[in-house]
Amino acid sequence: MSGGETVLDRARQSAGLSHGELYLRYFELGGMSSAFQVEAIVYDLAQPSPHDYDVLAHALNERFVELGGDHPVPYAPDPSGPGETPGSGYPSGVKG
Amino acid sequence: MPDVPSSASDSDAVLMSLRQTAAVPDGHGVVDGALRLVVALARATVEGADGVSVSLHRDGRLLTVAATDRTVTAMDAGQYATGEGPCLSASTEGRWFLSPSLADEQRWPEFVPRARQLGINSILSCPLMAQEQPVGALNLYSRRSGAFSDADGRLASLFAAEASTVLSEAGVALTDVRPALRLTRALLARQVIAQAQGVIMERQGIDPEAAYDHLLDVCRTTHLTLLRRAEQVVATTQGRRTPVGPAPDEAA
Repeated sequence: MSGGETVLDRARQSAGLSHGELYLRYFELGGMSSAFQVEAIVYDLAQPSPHDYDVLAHALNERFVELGGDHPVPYAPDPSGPGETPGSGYPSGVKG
Repeated sequence: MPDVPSSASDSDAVLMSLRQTAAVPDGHGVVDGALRLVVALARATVEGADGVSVSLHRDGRLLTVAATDRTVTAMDAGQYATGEGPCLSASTEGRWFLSPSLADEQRWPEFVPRARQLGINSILSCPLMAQEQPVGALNLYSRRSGAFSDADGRLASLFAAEASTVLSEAGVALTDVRPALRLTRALLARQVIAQAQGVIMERQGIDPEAAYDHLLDVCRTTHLTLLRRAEQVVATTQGRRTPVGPAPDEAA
């Protein structure tokens, strides 16, 4: 079990989304992982691909926009950009 | 229109009695009467609200069952006609939706011009729930941008909660239609996004994930939803303007 609260789970709770609703939104945006896998990602128990992470981050960010906010959940770093370390978690600070 | 109590404290006792009132079986009449009172109370106590309505799913469609004036009724009707807007989103998704400035709103491009034509510039829609399922929305409309304060949001949530209790205790009938519709909508959205990915892949000779990133790049810097962006891309392949709006440049 992961030690602390994660950024993704904090965002999920701030957005007022249940795990089921978050999964439905992720699925709606084209996400390919199962609900179980998404929950594991949210709790930092599974490492998503950068693409899968971005779909999940965007599902949360669209909810924040609905609530009148912006895009507080960071996206995965650009693989072609500087400073990318293979195997590292993304983005930095995802785990809270 | 029912008498409007002169203050929020007067409204407390009235709200308390609504649950018992609505529990009396009387078709839709008593429930609608209680909801009209909730609407009048919300209009009187939420400072930013110029007009208030309640929309409910009834007989397979969304209907306005209580409204403070004709402009509000027209606002609701505009959302039903275009199939979009905060009222519909709140009623379907069971979440509240705030649009602090319609001048900057990008989520409902068909509905927003109608709203602005009616002189409305900000909207707050709170979901109404029965048996933990969304059954409608309490809609607050204002002529001013940024009209709704945090305190207004809390009051609106209170009224929505009371209206939800009225509906729950009145035994508003629920079916499994809405969850099925939600899933259908998700599947349709996936399909549109996949189509847009295909268009971008073909045009730019890139893989599916890069095409997805291309869609996402626009959404990151705007408040455009991914679905909306995908609809725009798909529309560029069609010979005529589609209901989803004009297609922007996709030649990057």
